[in-house]
Amino acid sequence: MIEQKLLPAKIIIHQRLLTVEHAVADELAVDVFETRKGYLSWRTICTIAVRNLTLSRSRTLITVGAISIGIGAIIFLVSFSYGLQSLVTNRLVRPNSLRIADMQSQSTALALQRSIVDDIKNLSGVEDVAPAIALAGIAGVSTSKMDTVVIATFNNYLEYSHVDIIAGRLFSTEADADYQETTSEITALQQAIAQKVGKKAEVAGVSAEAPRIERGQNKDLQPRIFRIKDMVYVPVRKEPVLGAEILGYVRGSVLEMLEGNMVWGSEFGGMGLAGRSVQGADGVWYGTWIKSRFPLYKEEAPTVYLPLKDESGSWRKVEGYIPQLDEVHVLTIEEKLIEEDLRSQTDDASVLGESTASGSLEAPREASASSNFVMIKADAEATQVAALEQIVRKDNAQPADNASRRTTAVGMVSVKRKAPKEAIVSTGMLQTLKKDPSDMLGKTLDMQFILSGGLIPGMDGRVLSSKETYTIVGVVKDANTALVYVPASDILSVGVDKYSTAKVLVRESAVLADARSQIESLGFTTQSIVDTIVQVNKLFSIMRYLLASFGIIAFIVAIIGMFNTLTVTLLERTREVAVMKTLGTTNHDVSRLFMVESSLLGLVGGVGGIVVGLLLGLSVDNALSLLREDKTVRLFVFPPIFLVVMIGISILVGVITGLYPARRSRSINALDALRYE
Amino acid sequence: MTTHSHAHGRFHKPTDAEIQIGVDVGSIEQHASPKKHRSHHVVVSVEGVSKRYQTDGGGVQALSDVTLHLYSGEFAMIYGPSGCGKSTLLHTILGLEEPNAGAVSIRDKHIYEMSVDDRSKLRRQYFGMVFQQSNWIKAFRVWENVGYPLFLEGRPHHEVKKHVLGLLERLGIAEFAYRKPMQLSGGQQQKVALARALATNPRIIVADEPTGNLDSVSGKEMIELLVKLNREEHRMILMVTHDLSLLPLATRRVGLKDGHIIFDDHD
Repeated sequence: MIEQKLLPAKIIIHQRLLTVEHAVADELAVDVFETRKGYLSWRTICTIAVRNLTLSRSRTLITVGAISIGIGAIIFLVSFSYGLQSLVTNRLVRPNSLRIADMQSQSTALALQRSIVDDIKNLSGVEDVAPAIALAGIAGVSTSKMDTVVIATFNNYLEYSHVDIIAGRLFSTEADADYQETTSEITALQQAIAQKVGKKAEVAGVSAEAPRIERGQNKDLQPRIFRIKDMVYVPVRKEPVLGAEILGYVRGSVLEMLEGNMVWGSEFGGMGLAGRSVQGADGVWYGTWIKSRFPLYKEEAPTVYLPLKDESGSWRKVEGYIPQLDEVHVLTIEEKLIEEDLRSQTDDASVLGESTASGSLEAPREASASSNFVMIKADAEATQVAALEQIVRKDNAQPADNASRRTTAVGMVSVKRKAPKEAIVSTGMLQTLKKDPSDMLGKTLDMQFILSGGLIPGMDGRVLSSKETYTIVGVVKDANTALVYVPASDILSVGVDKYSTAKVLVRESAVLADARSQIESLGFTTQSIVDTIVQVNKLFSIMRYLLASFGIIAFIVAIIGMFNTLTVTLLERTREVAVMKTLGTTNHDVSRLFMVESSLLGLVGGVGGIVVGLLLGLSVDNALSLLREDKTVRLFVFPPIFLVVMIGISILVGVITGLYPARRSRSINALDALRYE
Repeated sequence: MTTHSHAHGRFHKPTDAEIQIGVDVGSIEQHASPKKHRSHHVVVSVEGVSKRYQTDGGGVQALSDVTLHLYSGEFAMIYGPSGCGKSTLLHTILGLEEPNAGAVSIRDKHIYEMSVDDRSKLRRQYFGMVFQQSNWIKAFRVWENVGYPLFLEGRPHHEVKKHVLGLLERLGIAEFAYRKPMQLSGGQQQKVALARALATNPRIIVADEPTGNLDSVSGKEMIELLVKLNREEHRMILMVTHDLSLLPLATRRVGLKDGHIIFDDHD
């Protein structure tokens, strides 16, 4: 344009005037023109938002109040669920309990041997293993006797079991020490056998003086019960000599018990000691034979056996001798004792039947036979103590002729260890005895342990220990069970070489699952409180959702109200928005303003909701605590993270409900401000 | 360049009868600085703009092929009867109303080729606006409303406040700074609106019937301020009015009728 070239002086004058008169404004203007940002600051937006909320105070209060009640209802209900959950889990979770797993063997084939406990101790992640032996016992306090469950264990087991010691203490270090078997000591079993069979010298390894022995001489004074392996035919000889005449064959059967006397006969082969039992004074070796009356079979053809009948056609038992081969199982004295007792108790008919020649063959023995070989668990054992005790008492009542049998049942094994005999008893036991915990400390307790066949290696049937006097050093809170804790080493010294159970402590709870699977891969089963807690937590999370859903209904109503408020606000402020746009406010800024306002409503509503929820929960708690004795119990628990999440949700709801008005505000035309009503 | 409505064939100059006796123009002229000569810088350029509104009863042609160039430092009054299209022309210049045809440029920038938000920024940059009816951000007090265009620039709060208080002082309305605009009288509100228009120190003040709702005393004060802004601060004033008595105060007079420019002259 031509004009632009003209009159530079005039332009200068204009500029000078501007500069002189409005230096501030001009400086501002230059700045504005060059560095405009074009967006409202957060401060300005927040100022407008806050002021807008306070301008329509009652409406804001109602909206925020509705949101607060909704959020408050959710918080109240969910915190109640959290409170219940923490009540339950606090009872379950004790120190370290998330790091502890219990392990047992569920199979007779797999025992928790001491060596296995050591192996598990060496597993990665395992810090400690606390084993225990559960067995039954008879406790004698002054004149009274009672059945108890005995747990032979170490202090660390008690610690991991979280027993509540209400009086006294745990075992002393000396009593708690692990049992180390010395080589000079012989096992309880061997000693027991030695006593019975009269081979003390040999078993002890020191041949003092060779006994005078004759062929056919009775080895034991009493007859013994024996059983021959199923489907095995053993030749019955006229004399206890290998070369003697074969009268016939006796058939082995698990169902049949035979009775006979143990006698010395000629030496024979076999895996056991029976074939070459003892050397007589004449230097000849003798084997153990059994003299009995056998139902005989004859060998018609190889492997074909038929009953051997006499001339009159009747099948009679014939007296003869069989060597005590590996296939012949002779019941121990204890086994026999129990066998006899059970037979007399359960089946009188069989006792009567024994008097006839064939009666003992048909006598049903399944029940008694099987009971001898059942692994009896500790908890079941307590109830059976009475039965055994009954036997003992009955024996006591019988005079002289049974005296020898009594002594074989009582005192079969004994506690070898010389460490102080310390016992910890449960309150349940004291209740039975009607004693106070403090009274019992330092008092003594006569203990007899019942060691089921599975506990002492090779020793089937039941074994009773000799009476031991224990000093009560502690009392634990357990009102339900009559329990006696004794040092594990005492029982180990009896000859027990396996544990019933063990508690495994891992280094940290994170590796518990791994350690458990390692132990389970060894064939054991494991349990942990973690399993229960997982279940409890699952249950409570369902409950939480259920309770929360009630609150959510209130919240949804509040959200609808809030949406309505925001929409009405937008309609009301159409003109104001138009003004802002006319003045150069961008759509983006207007949207931001609406979003901030709705988020602010959400935030205030959320905070209000927390206040409502806390007030409700705490006041209910306080009201209830007036009725309760235990003031520490809280029914409402408010995890901070939960409160933060609720505020977050509240703000989120604000943002979401603000989206629509914010979007709508974009379509407001700036010209709306300029058009007149 | 300068558009006289020759095509229309009518040369309309307002008669005395048409001049309303409301504002004592003579006394304003007497006290004001003398009018300046017209500059040669075209600031606002309207080229062949047409605008048609679609209504229920058919279309209304608000503007028909309007071409107008406004120069830096002018005090332009657009006048004409109601419905002649003067407000539409103003809105079109402000970038608020997109024409059906033609182009509007501010300092050679075609504003309808920009995005809505960019036009908003441009409007902020060049124009200060006063309307017949003041509109306020109700949440804000007077000084905050006046400073709002500066807040839009992202100016620091204290700086805005300092600047606005100075501005209100200059306009003689500092006492209202902390009151809510709606509590003020119409005349006071219009002064505040003018203050808001001046906040960013814009080159152009656009006033749409600024005295329309005011009594004569307030109207006079308002006009005095506008004249002063033009004569002393050399701001371009673009004012729409139907009050023909004010015309002598302008340096440029544009008459509009039925969407056509029928009169255009300058001092």
